[in-house]
Amino acid sequence: MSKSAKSDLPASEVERRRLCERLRQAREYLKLSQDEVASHLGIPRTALTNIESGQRRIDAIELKRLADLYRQPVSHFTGEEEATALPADVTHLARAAVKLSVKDREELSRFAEYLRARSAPKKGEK
Amino acid sequence: MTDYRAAIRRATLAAARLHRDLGIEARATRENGRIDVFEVVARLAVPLLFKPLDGLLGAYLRDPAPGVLVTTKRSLSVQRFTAAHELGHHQLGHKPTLDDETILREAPFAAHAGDDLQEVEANAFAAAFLLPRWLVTWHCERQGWKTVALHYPETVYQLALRAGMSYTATCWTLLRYRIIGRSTAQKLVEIEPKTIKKKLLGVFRPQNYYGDVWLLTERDAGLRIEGGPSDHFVMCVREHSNAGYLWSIETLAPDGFALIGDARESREPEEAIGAPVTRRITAQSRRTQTGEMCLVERRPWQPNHVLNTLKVRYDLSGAEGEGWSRIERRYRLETA
Repeated sequence: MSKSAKSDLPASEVERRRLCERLRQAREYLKLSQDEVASHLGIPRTALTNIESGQRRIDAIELKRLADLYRQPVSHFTGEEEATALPADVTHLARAAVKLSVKDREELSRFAEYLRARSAPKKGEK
Repeated sequence: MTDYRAAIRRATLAAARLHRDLGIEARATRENGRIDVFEVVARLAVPLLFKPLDGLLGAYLRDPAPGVLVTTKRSLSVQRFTAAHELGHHQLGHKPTLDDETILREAPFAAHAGDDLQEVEANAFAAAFLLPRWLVTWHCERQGWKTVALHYPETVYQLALRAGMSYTATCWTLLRYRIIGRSTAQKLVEIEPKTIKKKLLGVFRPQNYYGDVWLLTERDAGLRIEGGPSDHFVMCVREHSNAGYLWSIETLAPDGFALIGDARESREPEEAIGAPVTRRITAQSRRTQTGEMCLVERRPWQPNHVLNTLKVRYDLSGAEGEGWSRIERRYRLETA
């Protein structure tokens, strides 16, 4: 039931939801509050809340500025790419570290993913 | 062992080069004698994030892009050392590594067969980067410490606080510079910082000894303290009570400090009459943020005539929390 409901959504809506979700995740990963980010953009906090929940459309300039703040390319939020596994050399390290906890391994994976997204396009890199 | 020596030399040179390229000496000696490693990492545009890690102090990743991860679960001085260690891996072109508690132990500072030279280099880099010899000299000159003073744990501890290094790492770094000998260094590291803190606080017993104890004198006037929320401050100042001047403690409460001790001791008992005494004021912050603390010495009946002032600024935020470092957060959020 829910499965069919989901597939009924137009493709553009699926993409839009993914964009909102990724914006929220990126902000939370960096531990920035909605207040901090909203005042950086010069918009009310409620506007950011609405953007992240999909109730307000984000314009291209806002998206560009958010991507710059989060140090990720715009394509990270709009693209199709999915999370990937740890890079091979880190996997190797993780295997060698006997005491590595599950949580630490997760943090490493997420950080590697953050770095990978950052380095994806050549343009916009500092 | 020549490999070991070469590794140390290479790392020390790399740290010195970075100091030179970024103008770090001029800045640190103009400000508070402390090298802000998080700011340096941000300036080099190497991503640095703090995250709660259970068993790791930090990690250096390189593929597909370089980045440094540091735990939020340790003190600021451990976080600083870890970040400097990971920065060393980066500057020296090392392979990615996961670093645990072993980087804080003595091992990398002493030559052992089978040591991982990459770790030896990163640790030598961290020490040379955070506490270069010129910074030791700068603090000693400012404080009026002769070399022999660094044989005492009390002095080494105060140096460590001002430079933002752990006490143990400071001891080993002084040995590295041959400012102290091996047996002295060995004796110093056997003394726990807790013992030094207890001695400084005298009869006062805090709930725990996690916080640091800063011994502040007239020589610290203008200092910017970077400490933690549970730190204590012992202000040890000369009081010219023979001429009617007294240090006023009335400003402590409005500045956000609680007075927990106040005593007078004369330096030379036989000359007690008429000689200046040492006033020892112990206080603790009741707020955990930033501010300024100012004590003035004056005659109670001449409040506008101030003989001496001891003013320090403080940031007691302590360890870095999750996400970006405070300095990077400020920088990124302010630049629109």
